[in-house]
Amino acid sequence: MTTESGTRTTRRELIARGLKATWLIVRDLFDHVLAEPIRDGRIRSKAWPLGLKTIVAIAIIGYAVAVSAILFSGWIRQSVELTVNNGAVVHSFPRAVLWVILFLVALAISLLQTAVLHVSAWLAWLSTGLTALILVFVGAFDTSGFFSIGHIASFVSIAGLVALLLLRRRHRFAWWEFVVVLLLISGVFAIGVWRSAELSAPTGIDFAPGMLSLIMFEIGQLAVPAAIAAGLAVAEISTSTALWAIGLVRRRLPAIALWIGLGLIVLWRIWSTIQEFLYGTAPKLPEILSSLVLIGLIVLLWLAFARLRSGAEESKALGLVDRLGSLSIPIAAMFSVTLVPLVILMLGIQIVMTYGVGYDSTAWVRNLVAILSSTTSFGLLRLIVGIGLIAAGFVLAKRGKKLIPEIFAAVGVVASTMAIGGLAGLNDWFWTGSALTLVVTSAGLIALVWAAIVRKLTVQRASALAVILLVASLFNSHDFISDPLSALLGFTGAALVLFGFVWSFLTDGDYANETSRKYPRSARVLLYLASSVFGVTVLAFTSLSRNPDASINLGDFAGIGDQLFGTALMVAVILAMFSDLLGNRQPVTEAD
Amino acid sequence: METIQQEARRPAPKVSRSISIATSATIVLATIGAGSLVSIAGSVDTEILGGVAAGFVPQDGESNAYSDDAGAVFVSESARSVGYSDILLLPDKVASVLFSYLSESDMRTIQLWRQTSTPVAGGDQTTDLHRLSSEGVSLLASYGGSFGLVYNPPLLELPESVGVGFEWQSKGDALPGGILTYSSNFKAVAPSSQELISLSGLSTAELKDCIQTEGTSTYLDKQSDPFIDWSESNLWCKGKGKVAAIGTINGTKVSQGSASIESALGQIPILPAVPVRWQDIDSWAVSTAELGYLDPFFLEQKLILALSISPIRTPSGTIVALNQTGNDLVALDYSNGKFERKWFAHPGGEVLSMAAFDNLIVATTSTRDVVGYSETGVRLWTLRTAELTLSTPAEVPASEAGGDAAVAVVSLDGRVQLLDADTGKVRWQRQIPADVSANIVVGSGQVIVADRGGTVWAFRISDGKSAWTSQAGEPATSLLIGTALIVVDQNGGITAMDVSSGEIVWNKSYRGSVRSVLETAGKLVVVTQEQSFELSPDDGTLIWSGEGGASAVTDGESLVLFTSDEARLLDAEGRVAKTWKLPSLDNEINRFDLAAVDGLLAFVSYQGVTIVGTP
Repeated sequence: MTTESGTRTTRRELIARGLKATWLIVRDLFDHVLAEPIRDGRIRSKAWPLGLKTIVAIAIIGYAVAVSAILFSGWIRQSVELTVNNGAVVHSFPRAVLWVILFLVALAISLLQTAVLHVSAWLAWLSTGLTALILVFVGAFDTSGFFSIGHIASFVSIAGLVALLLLRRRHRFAWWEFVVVLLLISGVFAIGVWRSAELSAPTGIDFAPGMLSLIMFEIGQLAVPAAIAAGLAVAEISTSTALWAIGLVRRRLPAIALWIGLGLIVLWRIWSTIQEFLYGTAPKLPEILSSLVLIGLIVLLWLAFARLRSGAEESKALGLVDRLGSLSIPIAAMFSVTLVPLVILMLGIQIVMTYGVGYDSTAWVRNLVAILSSTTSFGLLRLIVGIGLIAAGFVLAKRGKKLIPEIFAAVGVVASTMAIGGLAGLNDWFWTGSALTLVVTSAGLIALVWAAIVRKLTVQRASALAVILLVASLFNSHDFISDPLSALLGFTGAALVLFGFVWSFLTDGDYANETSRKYPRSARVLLYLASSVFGVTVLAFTSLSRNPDASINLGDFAGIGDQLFGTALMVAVILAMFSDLLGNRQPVTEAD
Repeated sequence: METIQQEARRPAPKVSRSISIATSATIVLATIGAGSLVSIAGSVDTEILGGVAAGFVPQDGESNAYSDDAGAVFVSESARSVGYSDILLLPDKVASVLFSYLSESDMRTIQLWRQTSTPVAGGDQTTDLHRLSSEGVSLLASYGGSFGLVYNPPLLELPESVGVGFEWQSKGDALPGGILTYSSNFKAVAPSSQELISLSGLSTAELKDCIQTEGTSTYLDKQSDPFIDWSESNLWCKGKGKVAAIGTINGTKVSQGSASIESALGQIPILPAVPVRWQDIDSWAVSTAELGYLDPFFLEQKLILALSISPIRTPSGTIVALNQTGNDLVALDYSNGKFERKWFAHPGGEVLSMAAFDNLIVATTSTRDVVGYSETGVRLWTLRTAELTLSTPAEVPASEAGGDAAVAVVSLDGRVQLLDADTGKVRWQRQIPADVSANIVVGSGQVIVADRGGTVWAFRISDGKSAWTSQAGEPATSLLIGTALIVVDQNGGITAMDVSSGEIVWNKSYRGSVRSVLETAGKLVVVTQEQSFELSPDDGTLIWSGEGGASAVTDGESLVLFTSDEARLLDAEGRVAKTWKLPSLDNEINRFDLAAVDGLLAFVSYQGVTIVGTP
């Protein structure tokens, strides 16, 4: 018998179940999108050698100090005296925290130098050479003579580092190596700033800020690969959110929820597209056509890889997200490989001039620097690397590899088209994120209508379509992370980079949990920390300067990374979804 | 010696807890030690000489108003510097005396305090140049008035350890070659003179940071006859300098005490506006004008400018530029083939930006101050902000500001403020959540600011409430033409919006780095080093395009484009109608070009001014 109270009880139960299911979805979404990557990607301290844990703790504290300096840079600037240099560009810096940035740079270099004591020879000697140049540069700020304290200190320190490298190359990591390296490097930094300040202070000149600016200007470029890789973070979270959200709705809620969700997403996409046309921000025809070309090229390459591989294809969307995250830094390093010789040349010019070589004598080196740092050079490099990635994709596909060839193809095509657009001056005619979104939305809606008409709109296909349209929506409005963070920081240019740096720091440490003969675990951990600390220190310097161009504009490079990796990931995931759609495969979003 | 392979086969030794702790402690201590080394090394700073006496010297950029016994009001400004750069600003004869007895080491490390007094009602500025040294605070020279003095050795004003009961003397030359000699005797007492205290306007509590000096200075001429007999009592207060003085000069009573600038605003001369209007351009010719100034006592002096920012023109036609140190504003007037300095001012630190409005000049400084001056060089007000202000302040005319003219400023941290033009008081302020370094636009009842992220914010002048927001690229410069707000960004884009709503009306792109953006005959002109072009502000239609340039100036109707060695008059179709040859620029030298009443001015650092105009 059904009574009124029975009906209410049933309704109450339904509401409770609904709330519970919603809570479980939110919890699982948070877990899969945020917590799981952090769990998988963090560095693990099991079986570390003696002392490494303490060094890692120190590096993490340094990292946290740099992040705090970024977050509180406005308050710091208002609270302490600013040194201001009014040249072609006004450069200002809070004097009281100058030594913090200087020490963090020394710490990052010390971590790097300690790491390379036990790695392959070429990296060990390249890094040591770069460290030596930096130390000579810093020591050269003591201009009191050829045999000045600063000069002597730098050469003694270099001799010590080289001796340490020769002595320790064939041995395991030992904790005291870091202590020796840190004292050698910090000592030169301290002497350099002390001597330059001592010489200039009586004349009323505070040289320390200028010294820090020069150091950051010369070596700040080395943070570029990390900044490019940081640009992936927002796209990574967006696509992961889309994949898991749909998967969890499908798993936790009745089937009707998926159809309602698909309907809402369709409406959202249609509404957004109409708004773009109404406000005059819709993409132009050339952009749409070149977007179709971009997608078409990637599709062709993927089909070619599938033929080379043979065998059944499986859903790969989630794998693409995971894999690109771990490949972003090596790929970013490839795109900025000219920066190392650029930094070496720039440091070399400063050093030889300090030791008496005339400015005119360095003309050919400066011309080389100008060539290496020109937009044409960067464009050509991008094109070469892009083509190289595509070629590598073919090689790997022939060997039966999965996912990596697809990633290389997507990144390679995106990079190559960006490069061609820049080199040929055709940027106005090339694909844009907005155009890609429009193309994807249109294709998704057409597929939806087709599947509905031919009565083949299964749950699997509905899931795939929902993911496609949701990824497109999130990609089109991916400022939902960087805009609030910019507003919170109160200044521009750092939000995307900071978010990417922190996300990368939390989730990309998994390669440091592995070991090999040429790159033992301790070295990997220290390299990972060196890169992280250095990148965030450069960002802290530009934030405290309130000048995005103070060292190098990492925000611009994060934007390039967002465009490069973010676009590649979005297109790759969407194409993977379309593949699932056509094959009527369930998009894989749960652990087997 | 073991290899890594042999080490790997050996079982890892167990590490005791105490060893582990000791290891960690060593690493931590080493890190703290390294950090401390860098911290200590980075804290080396210039030691301020002068001991206790230095505490009485005002900070750089401090100003105060005082009046004399005749009721004339003056505004005094203090400038602090180290090194000989301020000595190079002195009249030649003064500088040469100082160079003669200061060693080379002294020259590089000398610590100076320069105090300049500007009469509110107009007249000559006078300057006292003091030295801070191990002896205390001494007077090096006085100049700018009808009588100048340069002391050798310097006249000791406050000994290094000055305190109640101290006595000190000094004597030497007051003019070179013994033309005039001096001797002085002073002692320090607790503030006790009621007249001094009354003149200072300080409360009893404030007097605890003050000291009173009493003494006499006698000046003898070459024949050792008395020339000046000066007895004085001065009240010195910490951080404020001399706040009051009474005495007699050759029997005549004199006094000086604290005054209020607000009470003297009515005495400030108002200069009539002289609009820029180019006439008879065909008769223009190229000439050069030297820079200099007339010291009433030390006579004609040369003037050098070092230009980090562009000079500006006030509505009355005065040119305001920066001096060779970049720290002082210098006002120039053209007469008899020469640019003569009328006045100079030191707002504090280095000048970052400046703007000229109707009888008001506003400068922003590296000490985070926004300083307002009258067109006659009298400091009117100072506003201390939390952040630097890189953006050029903008005028809000009285008609738009509800009857009283105002000034809009925005600091680097995005704080927008509307200030009263006469007093510098803040009428309202708003906070943008982004940094701002581009210029402000005022018009259509709004103050409009574009932040570094490209967001354009419009605030109502009447109450500061937000009117609208819109989006462009990272701004280089913005201006308002009619109802079109034009934002030229740094990445090759031009966005035009309706000023009343922020709605984007049109977008265009350009090549190169933008050099000038102006309105000419109601049209938008953009000059980059690669191209120059004119657009209709209503719909962005291209009217003409041509070669690029270094800059451009306009009188509102005609346009002149500058290249590295030419000035070119362009007609309405952008064709070159006339050219004038200019001195060629060396690489990396900046030239700043201005429109003058009936011609053009080209300023280059350390050189004279090139004039293209009516002979």
